[in-house]
Amino acid sequence: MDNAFLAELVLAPKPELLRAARLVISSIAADLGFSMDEMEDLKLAVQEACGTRLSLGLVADALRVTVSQDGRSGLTIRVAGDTPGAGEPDDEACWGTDLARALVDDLTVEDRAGIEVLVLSKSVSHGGQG
Amino acid sequence: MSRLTIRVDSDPSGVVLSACGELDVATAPELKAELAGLLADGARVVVDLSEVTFLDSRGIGALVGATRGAREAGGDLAVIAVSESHLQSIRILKLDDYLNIAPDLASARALLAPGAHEDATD
Repeated sequence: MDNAFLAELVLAPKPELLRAARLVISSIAADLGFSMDEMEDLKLAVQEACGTRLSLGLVADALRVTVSQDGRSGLTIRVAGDTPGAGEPDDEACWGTDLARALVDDLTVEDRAGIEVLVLSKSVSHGGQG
Repeated sequence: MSRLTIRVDSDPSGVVLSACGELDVATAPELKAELAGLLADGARVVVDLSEVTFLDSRGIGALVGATRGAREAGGDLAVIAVSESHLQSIRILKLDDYLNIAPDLASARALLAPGAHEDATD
């Protein structure tokens, strides 16, 4: 199994809805054997990825969070708005990206037809549950 | 209904704002607004995070912004009861030296005492 689609969440651009993304991620991560600390890291990383899309004005109608299983014990999460950005990021948007990057194994940016997609990857640690 | 509740207690020793719930991109504006009112006129305020269950960069940003505003007005702000996971986020962003972070109310009030920073750097 290389990269198996697990879920896609489509949210209106309302900050209060990001909690739904956190709940989905933590539920999937628990099933895959991520530890409590790793789940908390994933939740916060996804929150930051989504939050920066909103604060940068990259979401007009729909924020998409797509979750795939990467191999046996990893998750890849793609977070994308639906409109190209126009503004310069403020301090807090930069902090959001910095924080997300620190909490996952890898964070990359893809360009999909002018839409910036944040790609977060994290694998279960060898310690497993705990 | 907001996922953040804010309580403000004031006595002759100072003002303590206690936040309860999720402090994130959705609720940080509420904290910013409350602190902006409390920190006018050079006040010194303690923010208790012991009942905050989730903290993101916008929540941290609200604390940093309020601290900056307080200092510009001649006051200051301290944060107490920061959980280890929330402290990790603050450290990742290298803001732990900027924010006054104290374990408890007594330590925070000592940090906020007039002249405390000057004494610490002497």
